[in-house]
Amino acid sequence: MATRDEEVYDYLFKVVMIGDSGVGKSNLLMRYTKGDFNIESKTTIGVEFATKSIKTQDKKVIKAQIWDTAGQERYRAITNAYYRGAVGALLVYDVTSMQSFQHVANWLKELKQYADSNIVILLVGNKTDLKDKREVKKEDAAQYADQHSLAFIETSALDCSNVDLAFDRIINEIYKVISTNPQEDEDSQYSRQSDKTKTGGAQGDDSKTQGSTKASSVKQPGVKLTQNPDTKQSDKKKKKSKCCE
Amino acid sequence: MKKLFNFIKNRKDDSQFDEEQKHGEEDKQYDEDSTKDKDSHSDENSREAKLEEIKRSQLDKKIKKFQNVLSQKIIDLDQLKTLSWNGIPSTNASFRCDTWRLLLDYQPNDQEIVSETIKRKREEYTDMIEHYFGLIGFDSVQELLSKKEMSQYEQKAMKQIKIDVYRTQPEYKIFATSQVQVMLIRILFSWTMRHPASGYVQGINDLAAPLILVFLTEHINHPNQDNIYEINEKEIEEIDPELLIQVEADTFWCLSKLVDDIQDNYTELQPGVHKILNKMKKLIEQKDAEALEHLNQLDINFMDFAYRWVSCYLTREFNTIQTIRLWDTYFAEDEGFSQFHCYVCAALFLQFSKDLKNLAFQEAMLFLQNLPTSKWNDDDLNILIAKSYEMKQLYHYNTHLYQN
Repeated sequence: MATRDEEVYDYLFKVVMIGDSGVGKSNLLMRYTKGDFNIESKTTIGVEFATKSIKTQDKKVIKAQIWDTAGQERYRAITNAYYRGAVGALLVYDVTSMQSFQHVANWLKELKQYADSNIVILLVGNKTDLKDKREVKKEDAAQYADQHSLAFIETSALDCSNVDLAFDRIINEIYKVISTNPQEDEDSQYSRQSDKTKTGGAQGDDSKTQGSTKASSVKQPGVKLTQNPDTKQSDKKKKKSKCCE
Repeated sequence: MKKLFNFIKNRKDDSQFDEEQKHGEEDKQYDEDSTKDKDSHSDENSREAKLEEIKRSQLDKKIKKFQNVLSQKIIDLDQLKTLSWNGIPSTNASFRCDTWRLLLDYQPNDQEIVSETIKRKREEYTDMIEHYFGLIGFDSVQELLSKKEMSQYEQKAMKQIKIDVYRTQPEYKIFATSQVQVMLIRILFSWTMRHPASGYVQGINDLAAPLILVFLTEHINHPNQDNIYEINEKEIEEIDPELLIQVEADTFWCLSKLVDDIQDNYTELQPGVHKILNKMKKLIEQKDAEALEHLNQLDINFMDFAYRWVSCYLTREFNTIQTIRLWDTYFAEDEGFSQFHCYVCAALFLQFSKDLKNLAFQEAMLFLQNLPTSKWNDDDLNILIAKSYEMKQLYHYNTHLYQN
């Protein structure tokens, strides 16, 4: 089957964005993937998908597939299905909302329950441009991050500060984890697959997601982080098979 | 099938025929090029003028029909549904306002009791928001929120509503006016307090917006609803607050009626949405198994892209004018929002399934989450609705199709 996805990459990472409603997840993503801030952005319903490739210092190309999730609690049952298979999570709070920071603990609990245990988490304090309204001190958040072994950064999707850095940072963190951990067996997170398939999976059959059986319906449980073996040989790379399975 | 045939016949009569003629003319003109340039130009102009005239006379006829039905002493709702199914004329604001209110069973069809009934409902609403918010005004959101001491549950609901009201229909400046924001907050909050089983869920704001817009047009000077984008902040500020509160009350009651039929889209785990997604999948399996297989191969679930289609009733996929036109049909259908919508979502997918087959995962996801529907015209939408209707006729009673 012809595919037009000719992009060459070495690794494919699935990353999720989570955090309370209205903290600016979608705008961070838009700023990062499109260089745009949309003051007129609408609420995210369900999940939204975007992608971007970056180069690491040792010239490896990493493609990030980023799933932006709805923040409202009622959507939790849908969105947490997307944690599965993710190798990174941007946990976003709003520096002008203490409540959104207090909820970080709940989000971590969610991740613990539904995501893989070695997921890399970056805590992101967004909206630093609203200086007068700040409620969460940078030091406090940094300390919290430290206590919970999270990476931490403050950003502003509006004035652009640190946005690229945040995403690049989490991608590099994930990459570091792989490079320091030697390849494990086929079932590990360091699997490879072609561009044709997505890493990990959301829920399987839609019907199953209604109940709490969600986790058991996940397809490709072992596939999360993808390494493409045939670096820079795009013709070989277009293999259709899910080599990891 | 009668409706479909009528519909197709109508289409043949007017727009599609026009289009064919126009395209034919364009091709011809291209072929013959410069020598007959002048001739073909004048020829085309007169033809276009003629077509314009035909369209206008058809619209006039439709307007007359609406006038007749809506002036009946006891309005024949079946007749009104048949008329509305193909779209309500945007030229007279009251047509759509009355028709929507009637078909949602908010406005009684017995003209003698209309004003009294509506008045009572509007008063009931005013009492309710007085109870929730104290005095009634449209001054500012801050002022509105400062008037009330709230329980924890109320605070939580209000916080979410406030965040979402600020980002509802941001492409319309009037949604940034304090009037519309105050209205929307009060509507959503009152609705939430009366529906504890679901509470406010993101996406309900998207359903309230077209209702507010349509009901506002009754009080605007240039009432053609196709010019809804042109309504400006000043026009809203000039509307008498007495009338604004009527718009607000009507929106509240109509939203309540609308959501009553689809409440399980918003309750815990949102079973309504899942039901529609499953049914949609089965319809697509019948109509284009290859496309479904392709999605399976890519490991894309309907949940990944169609969740928003289903739960926001395509308000994100179409612009407001298109949404309003689509909803004319939904209101005219007996179970428009709870059933017919599923066929429309399936038809929408099928419309693009050919394009999908050449796409890999990433492209397919991006495509499905950003459908190229913004360029659609009335005809495209009418065809989509006709296809949905055809599918409904074929599969609606085929219940074994939907059994899990």
